[in-house]
Amino acid sequence: MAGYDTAGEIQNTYVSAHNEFGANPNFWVRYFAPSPAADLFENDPTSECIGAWDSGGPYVGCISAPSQSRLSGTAAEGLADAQTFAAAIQSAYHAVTSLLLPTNNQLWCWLDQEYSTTLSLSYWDAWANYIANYNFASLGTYPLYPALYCTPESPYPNCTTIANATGLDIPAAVWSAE
Amino acid sequence: MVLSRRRRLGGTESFRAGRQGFEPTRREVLAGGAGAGALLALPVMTSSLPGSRSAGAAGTASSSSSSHPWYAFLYGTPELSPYPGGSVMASKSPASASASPTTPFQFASKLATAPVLSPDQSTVALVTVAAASAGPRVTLTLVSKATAAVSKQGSLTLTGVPADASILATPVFAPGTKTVALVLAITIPATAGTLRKADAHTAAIITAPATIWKSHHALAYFDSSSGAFTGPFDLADEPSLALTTAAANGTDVFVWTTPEPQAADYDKARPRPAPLSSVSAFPLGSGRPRFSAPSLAPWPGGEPVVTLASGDVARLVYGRELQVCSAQTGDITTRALAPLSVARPKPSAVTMQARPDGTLFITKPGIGIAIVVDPASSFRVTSRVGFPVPLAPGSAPWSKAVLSSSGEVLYVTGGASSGGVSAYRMDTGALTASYVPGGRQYTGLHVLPDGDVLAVSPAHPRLTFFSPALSPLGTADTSLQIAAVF
Repeated sequence: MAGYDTAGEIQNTYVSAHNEFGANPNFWVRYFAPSPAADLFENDPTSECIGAWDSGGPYVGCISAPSQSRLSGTAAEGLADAQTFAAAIQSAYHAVTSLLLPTNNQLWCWLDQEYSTTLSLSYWDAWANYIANYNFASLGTYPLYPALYCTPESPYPNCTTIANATGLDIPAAVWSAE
Repeated sequence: MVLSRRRRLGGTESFRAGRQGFEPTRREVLAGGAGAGALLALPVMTSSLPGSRSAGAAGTASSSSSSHPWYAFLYGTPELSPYPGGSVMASKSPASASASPTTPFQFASKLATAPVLSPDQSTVALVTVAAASAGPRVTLTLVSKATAAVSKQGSLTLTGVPADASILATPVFAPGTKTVALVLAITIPATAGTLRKADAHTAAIITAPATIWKSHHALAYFDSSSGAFTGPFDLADEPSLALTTAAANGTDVFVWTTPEPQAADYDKARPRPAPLSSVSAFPLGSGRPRFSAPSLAPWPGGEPVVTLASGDVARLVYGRELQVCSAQTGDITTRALAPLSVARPKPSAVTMQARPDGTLFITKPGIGIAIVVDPASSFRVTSRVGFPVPLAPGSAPWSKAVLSSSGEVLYVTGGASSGGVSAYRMDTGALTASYVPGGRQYTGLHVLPDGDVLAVSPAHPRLTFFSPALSPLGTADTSLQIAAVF
């Protein structure tokens, strides 16, 4: 069994998800701001964490789904979206004592790029660089890594733009929708 | 993020792309932010075209004329490397069913933000930011949808702001006035030593310059009669998150901002919730708020927002709930929208539009629902139409269900299996017309002021024009991958 990716709150989802799939998840992927059409993990992280623990899959991945037209935008938009995303993750971290970083100190932070949405290099570079460069909780270890969720068979140019990314802006991972 | 146990998140494929060992400079990272925006083509500068009309003051031109042609402004990314963001092409609607659509032409590049359409749909606001010795220069251009002509343009210099600052500029039309407010998020970098972290794949330690970004906001006001700016007024709210939500009525502009949580203020052993946003009301022309009040979650971040006929402002949050902010006090009332409260694993596109009769048109294609609610009647749902869920309901453009100017017809992109475009009566929900050309998938729709419908597709040719009855008027193509239509 893999994980559950849900736009709803974990505590309100896992029973129905278990009934549908008949198994506990290994992990959850939850939405953080800016995700204007989703319930947000950082709004009630304690209840979400309790729900994740009770579900048997006490690991939470972080994804942000901005309004998709923004992904065709500029560096200023990418930077602003990443700033809010990182702040939302950090807020959840500070709101729950038992919420910890992975032991390898790598937290992959996903940007949601939907089918037919094209990602501009200006947006991605600024978004990814802010995430990679974020001094999370003042730890000095920079544990956030930019990653991209996308649909590779979507019409060109789709996510091919990230082939031009360099250095810290290179995604740590790409999660294919298929 | 891990709950008490420690294991890396699984279920994903690793991937690497691009060159190694090369760090972009901060200026390269910012390319397309401050520095290089430009309006490239302003080909129709007079009102000599058939059917053209005076643009007038911002938001005051007629939107109900049936004269041809009208322009659709296509926003997106060119499909050529290096894929800069924020490009605009203009596409003229066909003058008649027998006339071929003309080829769209490039209108602007590297905008500082997506275009903004005036409440009466007659005018589009474009913002560019260019580097200048005195500070970043922000230019606001108002363009008529009837003529593609510039009706007014003005510039503002952000004196004292460094050249490598990131400038996010959001135009806000104040309905019934000649004022366009400009909400500016100014994010300034500072070096913070050297960053050392493990490469995600090799675990080798990589180093790079560490940067800390701090944001604050400013307000400016553009007079669409004179072309003059008032401001900028510094809101002195550093450190804040750059993202805001803003709307205006005839007297005030309302701005939602969020203090940036500072790690130094938190202790892992003593948990605290996320900071709340606040909403401030600024009288038009002023940098001093009439009130500031705490807001409810979520933080501002791209949620649909409209000004109601009462002057209050409504945010559509979580894709299913209205938060109505009193224009007088900032008090917030929450209204659940039951038809939208259907759980799905993935977030859907959501849109909200204020109608001339004061009602709100709201769509959520991820559950195949469009509704009209009446704020004057306790936000009662006055009509509701169900339709097949499109292939990619969360993708760009988000305008997958649009309303005719009369409010009588709902146009939607076809379902995942059928594709095409369909039309429904908004009052009864009855299907009245469909155009299904061999399963072709359209990803967004736009109703032109004359009633024609533009459907956009990620596949070439990307533009298909329809009459109000969904008779095809022709196609046109563009190299722009379209993210939104204005």
